[in-house]
Amino acid sequence: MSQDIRDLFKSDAPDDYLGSHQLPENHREEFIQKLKASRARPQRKLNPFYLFKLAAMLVLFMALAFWLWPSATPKAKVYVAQKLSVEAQVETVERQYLASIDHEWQRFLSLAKDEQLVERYRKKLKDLDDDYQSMTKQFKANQHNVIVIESLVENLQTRLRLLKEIQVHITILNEKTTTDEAVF
Amino acid sequence: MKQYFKSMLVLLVTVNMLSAQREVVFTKSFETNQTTSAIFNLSNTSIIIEASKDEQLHFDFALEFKGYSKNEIREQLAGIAIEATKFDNHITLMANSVSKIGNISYTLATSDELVLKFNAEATKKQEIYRKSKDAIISEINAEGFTGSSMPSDYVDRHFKVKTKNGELKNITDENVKIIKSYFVIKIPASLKLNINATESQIRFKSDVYNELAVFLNRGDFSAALLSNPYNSIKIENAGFKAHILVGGTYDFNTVSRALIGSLENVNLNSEFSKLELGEVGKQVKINDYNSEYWFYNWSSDFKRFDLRSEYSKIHLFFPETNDFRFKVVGNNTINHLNNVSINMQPTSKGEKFNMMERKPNGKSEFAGEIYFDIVHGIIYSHDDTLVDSKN
Repeated sequence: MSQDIRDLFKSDAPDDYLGSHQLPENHREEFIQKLKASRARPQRKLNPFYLFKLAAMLVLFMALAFWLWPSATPKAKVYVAQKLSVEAQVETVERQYLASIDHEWQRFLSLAKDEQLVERYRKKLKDLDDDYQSMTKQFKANQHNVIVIESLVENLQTRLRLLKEIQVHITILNEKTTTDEAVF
Repeated sequence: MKQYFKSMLVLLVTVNMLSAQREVVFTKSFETNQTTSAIFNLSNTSIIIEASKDEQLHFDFALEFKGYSKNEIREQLAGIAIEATKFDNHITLMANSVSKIGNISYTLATSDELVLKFNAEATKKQEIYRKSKDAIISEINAEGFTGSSMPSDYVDRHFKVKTKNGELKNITDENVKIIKSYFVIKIPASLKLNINATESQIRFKSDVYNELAVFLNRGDFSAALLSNPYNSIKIENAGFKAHILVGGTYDFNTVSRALIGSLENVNLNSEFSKLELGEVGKQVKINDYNSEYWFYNWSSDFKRFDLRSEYSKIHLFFPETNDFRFKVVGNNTINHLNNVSINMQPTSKGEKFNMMERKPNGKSEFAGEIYFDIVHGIIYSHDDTLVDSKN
């Protein structure tokens, strides 16, 4: 069967070769059908564990949906409102106290004649205000921390208390009228 | 079916919320000897100091979380920086927390509206009566670190929950997340200790004879017995409670409430503070500017008590059983004695003169001399001892 390959490229060689090996016209369709017929069908086996997992996921999803769906939207809204509410309430408390502190400071200035006393109070109030600013940073980081909120208000209360008490003190001293030395 | 799932989930969430989770934050021990010193730098931290049973310095820090999720616990723990090192026989502790962690810390967590109850115009009037030393100590114990997990007493003062019906209700366990701090430091008897603290709670749980230098700005300080002639304790903008103080110097600046059961051989400097002293013992000296003092009782041998002050308000209860001398010098001061007011006018050059004197009557054992050097002061003498001594 050996032949010289150069014979195939001679002028009559292709006709002889192709003439005896002509393909039918519908060879493509036949080929595709045979291919389909020869392909092995996969055997579908149901995995019980897979079904169990699917069922479990479905149950969990349903449970979470039952639990979360009715309350998810309103809860988120409440949280935002509440967060603003605490901050707003602290701001309201702060405004009230600062207004009272300012009022008492003006009254104190008109009452006190001792410059040294006024200076010491000015410094004390500034120190307390510096502390307050430092605590405000903590409050902004966690607006629901009870100790921080109480510390803020205590700072304001201390300033107001000091100013009120010193005025009462000065008023009592100014009321006295007589000089006595008492020996018992 | 829906109800069943809901109930199960509610149960799971509730159990998870109510069960406390304890996390060990830090634990370390150091060998010490007679010359070891230590410094604790604290911020936003709560510590309890106890006597060590061995010669070691022990640090044991744990936090207990209630109502916190795992992520929130992780965040809290990540916000704590703590380190203890020893170099050249000197131990340094650095403990700092991003968020403020007290002995018990409450964070409000409720879907209902929170209402803050603070009133700028409200004033609290304190009833004045003689308190015994033991009563002061009981007060300290009652107000101190109770370790209670119920937030109601603490929180209810200023926080309420408004229900959907508009009703104001007290905060309950369900409305708060709680962190309890257990930072116990055991110190050996010979340790010389220095504490610098901000926004912290310091409690000396057992009697301490160590030499202490403490500076605390904002927070709380409480102690059982502190006894050392070289103690130096400076407290600013914080609360102070101690059963017994023996020796040392104490500086109080804007201490809104100091409760001291008894003190002796103490130099006390104060300004803008309020101090209640259950019993004044031997050799106590006070320098004050614009504070309010309550002197309730005197030991049977207090020897000499000195008060030098400006703009002070004094509530003075005289010794009940022992004989004593009482002398007041100064100017621009008023003394309310029962229904009688004794006034001392200001002087142009600020010179001081004798305001009043009570000499010993010899009827009982002499306890000591109470000496006031007071300017711009108000003294309330809540006792009839002086009236009796006139006769």
